[in-house]
Parts: sequence; structure tokens; C-alpha cells
Amino acid sequence: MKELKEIINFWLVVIISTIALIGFVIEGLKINKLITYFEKQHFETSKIIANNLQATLLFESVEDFNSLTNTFDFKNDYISIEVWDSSGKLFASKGKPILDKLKESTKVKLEYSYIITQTSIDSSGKNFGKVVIKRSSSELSATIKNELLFSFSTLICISIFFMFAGRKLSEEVVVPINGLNEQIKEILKSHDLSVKIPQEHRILETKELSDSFTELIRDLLDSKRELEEMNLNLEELVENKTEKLSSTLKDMKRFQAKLVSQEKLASLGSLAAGIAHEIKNPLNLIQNSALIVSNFTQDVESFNLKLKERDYTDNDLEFFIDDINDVKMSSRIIMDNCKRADNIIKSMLSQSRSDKSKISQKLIESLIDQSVNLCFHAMRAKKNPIDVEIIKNYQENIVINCYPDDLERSLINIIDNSFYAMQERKQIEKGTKFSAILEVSLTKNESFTVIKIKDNGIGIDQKLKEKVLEPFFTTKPTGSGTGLGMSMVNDVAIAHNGELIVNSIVNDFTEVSITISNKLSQEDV
Amino acid sequence: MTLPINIAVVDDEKDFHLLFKMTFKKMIRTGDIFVNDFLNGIELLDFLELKHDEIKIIILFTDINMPEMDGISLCKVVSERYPDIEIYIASAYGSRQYMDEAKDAGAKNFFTKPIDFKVIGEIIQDKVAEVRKKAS
Repeated sequence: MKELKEIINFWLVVIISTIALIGFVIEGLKINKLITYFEKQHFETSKIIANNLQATLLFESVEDFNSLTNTFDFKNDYISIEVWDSSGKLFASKGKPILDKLKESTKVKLEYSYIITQTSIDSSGKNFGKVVIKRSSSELSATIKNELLFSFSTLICISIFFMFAGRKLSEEVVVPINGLNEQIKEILKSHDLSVKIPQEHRILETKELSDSFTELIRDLLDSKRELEEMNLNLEELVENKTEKLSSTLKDMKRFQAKLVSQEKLASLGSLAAGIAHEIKNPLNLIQNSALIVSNFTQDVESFNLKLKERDYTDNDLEFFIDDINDVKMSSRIIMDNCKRADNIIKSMLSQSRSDKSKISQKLIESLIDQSVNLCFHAMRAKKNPIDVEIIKNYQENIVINCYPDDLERSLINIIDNSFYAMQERKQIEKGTKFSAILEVSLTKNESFTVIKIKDNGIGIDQKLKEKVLEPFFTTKPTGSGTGLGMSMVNDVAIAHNGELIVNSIVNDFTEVSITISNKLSQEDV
Repeated sequence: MTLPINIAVVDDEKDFHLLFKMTFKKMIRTGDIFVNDFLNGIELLDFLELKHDEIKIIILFTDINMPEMDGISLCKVVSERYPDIEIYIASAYGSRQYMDEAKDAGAKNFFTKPIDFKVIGEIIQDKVAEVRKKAS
């Protein structure tokens, strides 16, 4: 990239060189012409002199020569005249000796300060000798000098003029452009579109450029203002949205909390409903049995009357005794169902987790062993005891925080179910080679401890598997179980920040895994 | 149709059967009714298949919640195969849905538990009276 100055200078140099060249050529020609004329003049003069010297040389008259040459100006003009005869001998001379050696053919020799002409003296075709004249050429030199000086000065003046003009031109263009450039730079530096550097414009093009630029800036300024407005609007919109969102979030959190508490209430409600339902039946039986007893008292009265009047038949007696038996039965039903109702409530109380559960550190394998032993002996003491092979697979020394009572109760529940299932299968597969196996495993990974209890009992149908953890769901006959056990175990697992998983295949196996967190702490309560 | 009329009671609780018979002892003694009890629906169906020609069951009382076969399914089967049997269903749940289901399955009426034996008694009495009238 070149500056304007450089370009202008370049062209100036070109122009001035061209002018100089032309000037030199012209001057050269001029000077040439001058020299030629000068030489010609001198030559003509020497020819005349040669003519005049014809007689002198013929008659060998030196006085002739002297008188001829007396009129010559030897101060300012002539330097020397030498007349030579045809044999090459100097006949006569005046002035300083001419030392220059001239060839025969040379007629004129022009030097810086003198000019020498060599002319042959002839008469009627016969050569008598030559005359060599040396004159001063200082006039010519002076003229030439003046010419050169003049043209050189002219050239200098022209050059100076052009340079001046060039600079001025460059200035006229560069200054407003630089001014514009400065303004742009200032805007870029300060990011302020309203910066203005005052400029004088004398050239139409730069003024137009400046005007266009000013318009562009104004346009940008407007766009900038528009954007700022839109931005403000956007910011407002975003603020509003954020407000709405955060209030919606608050609402949702509140709603979620509500849902959770509603669910808790619902489960409590369903628990209560379940209890009510369960107790309805025994109560109904009690009520109707009581009715029978109460009706009997009326019959007693009528029978008593008959007895008094000895007006009774054998049939009457038979019926009466039969009725007494009914009363016995009713009493039995009443007592049985009272006990049943009591049991329902008791098991509900025992199976619900008390709020006073405490966390303590326990060696888990001893907890499991205790539960297994309890259940096994209980099973052996009740109806249909069976033999069970118990396989234990414990990872050693697992000691973690837990709710020991709840955990033990849960394990007992699960193991009880396992024994029951295996007893059932034994009943169904009587006579076959079925042998009950209970596998108990205890493992610990980084975050959880897992207790698995696997039995090879009758298993749980896929369809019923989901219901297993539901409160009051049971496949046991009425009175054998409340159906609350597994839902309680599930609650215990959750309280340990873990979970309960049930896997089963009908007539094959059931495996219950209870997972509990390793890092249960008082803060989790 | 002659007396005694045969009643079938299906319920998984033994004590309920005892109670039923004790409550209607008088009618049983007079030979107005005979109570056939079954602990589940399958027992009843087996019985009906075998003895339907001999013993005409007129009224059936059944519970909904029973193992092996629930009351609604039983009702459907019975009303299809033995349409002359009047079916009464009882349940601890009194929801509208159950009632409609029972009626759709062919039940004559639906009772919620605890069962009022008075109402049952009236139904049986009416039937007895009906049969007596026809006989004469």
C-alpha cells in the first residue's frame, strides 16, 4: 500500500523528468545550432582570409601578411594565425604558436576556449599552402553557459512549482480523508456513535464521502437506539416470565407438598377403612349370634310355661335341647369373633411402626440369624411343621446403622411368609421329592446393604405380585393373616432409605430383597 | 313346586353357615325350607351339575369376596345355566359399581354387609308363601 504522497511524488518525478528531457533535447538542439553557426561563421571568415592570403603566399610577402593581420583583434578575438606553405613549412605566424596537431582533413576544431580553422590557400586550382587560425570561443561558451543556466533554472522552477502543486493537491485530498479516519477511529475507541470531528471540505468528493459517512453513523445510531429499546423490552419480558415461572414453581412445590400429605392421609384413610372392613365381619357374626341367644330367652319362657303345665311333647324337648346347643354354638361364635377382632387390632398395632423407633448400630448377620431361628422354631411348633434346609451366605462384619426392632420384625414377617409358602407347597406336592430350602444372603456394596431371603415355596402369581405390598392384601384364608405384613416391611425398607423388591415364579421360588442404606443417620429421621 | 324350598348359601366362612341355619331354624324345622351350604362357588356349581334335577334350588345367597371364585362370576354362570334360581348377592363393599355389576350379572338384589337377617327372612317367607299358594 502506498501513500498518496508517494504516488503524487512518483508522478511528479515522471512529469518533471519528461519536461527535463524535452528541455534538454530542445536546448541540445539549440546549442548545436549555435555551435554549427559559430563554426560556419569562423570557417567562412577563414576562407576569406585564405583568399586574401593568396597573393601574400604567392609573392611570399611577409609585410603583406603583417599588414593584413594588423587589423585583427588579438586581444579579445584572435589568438594566432599561422600560414604554412605547401611543403609544410611555416611561412608566417602571428600570436601564440598553435600546439594542436590537426589532421589534413580537419577544417574546424572547436574547443572550450578557442576554435581552430584550417583552410587551404588555393589559386587557379593550385594549392599553395594553408592558413591555420586560432580564435577565442569564449563568447560562444558564455552564450551556451547562459542558455544552460536559463533552462536549468526554468526546470528547477517548474519542479518546485509542481512539487508545491502536488503537495497542495495531496493535502486537499489527504487532510479531509485523515480527518474522517480519525473520527472513525475515535468512534471505534469510545464506542460512542455521536463523536464528531469538525472538518473543512473543499473537495466535492471528500465532502460527499464525509456526508455519506455521517448519514451512515446517524443510521447506525438510530438502529442502536432501536436495539436498546427492544433489549429493554426483552429484559422486561424476561423479568416478567421469570417472575411468573418462579411463582409457578412455588405453586408447584406447594402442590407437591399437598399431594404428598394427601397421599399420606389417603393411605392412613385406606388403612382405617381396611381396619373397619376387617372388623365388620367378626362384629356381624357376633351381632347375629347374640340375636340368636336373645331370641332363645323368649323360647325359654314359652318352654318354661309348657314345663309348668306339663304340656310338652317329646318333639318340644328335642327342639329345646337342640336350641340350647345352638346357644352354645352362638356363644362360641361370639367368643371366637371377639378374639378375632382383638387379634386384628393387635396385629395392626404391632405391625404399624411406632414413632419411637430408634437408630442404633448393629451387626446385621446376628439380626438375621435371630429372625431365622425365631421363625423356624415357631413354624415347628405350629400346624404342619416341615423340614427346611437353611443356607446362609453372609458377607462378614457388616455393621451399620438401622432400626433394629423394625428390621427384625420385617425379617420375621418375610421368613414367616417363606415358611408358609413352603408348607403350602409341601401340602400340594405331598409324596414328591420336594424339600424345602431357605437361602438367606447378606451383601454390602458402597452405598447399600442387601438382605435376600429366597424360598422354594408356591410362589406368587405375576398378576398378584403388584398387590403384595398393598395393605390388607393376602392370599391366606380368612383369619390366618391380616395382609398387613408386607406393606409394613415396605414401610420399614423406605424408612431405611432403601427399598423392597419381590421376585417370584409360581411353584418355583420367591425371593424378597430388602435393601437398606449404609449411611442411615439420626438426621434422616 | 313343593315345599321345602331349597336354598343355597355360598360363603367362605363356616360360622356364617351355622348362623344362617340357626337363625332360620324354625322354618327348617317346619319343613318350609332346606338350606344347602357351600364354602365356595365351585362346590355349588359341582352340586348343581349333579343334583339340579333332584333338588331345585330356588334362592341363592352369596358373598362377593371369596377365594377360588368370586360372587359376581358365580352369579353370571348360575343365571346363565340355571335361570330359575333367584340370586341375592351380599358384600361388605356397598359401591354403586358393585351393585350395577351384580344386577348385570343376573342378581335379583344386592345387600351390603352386615347382613340384616330380617330382610333375608322376609324374602324366604315370601317365597314360601308363593310356593304354598301355587301348590293349592
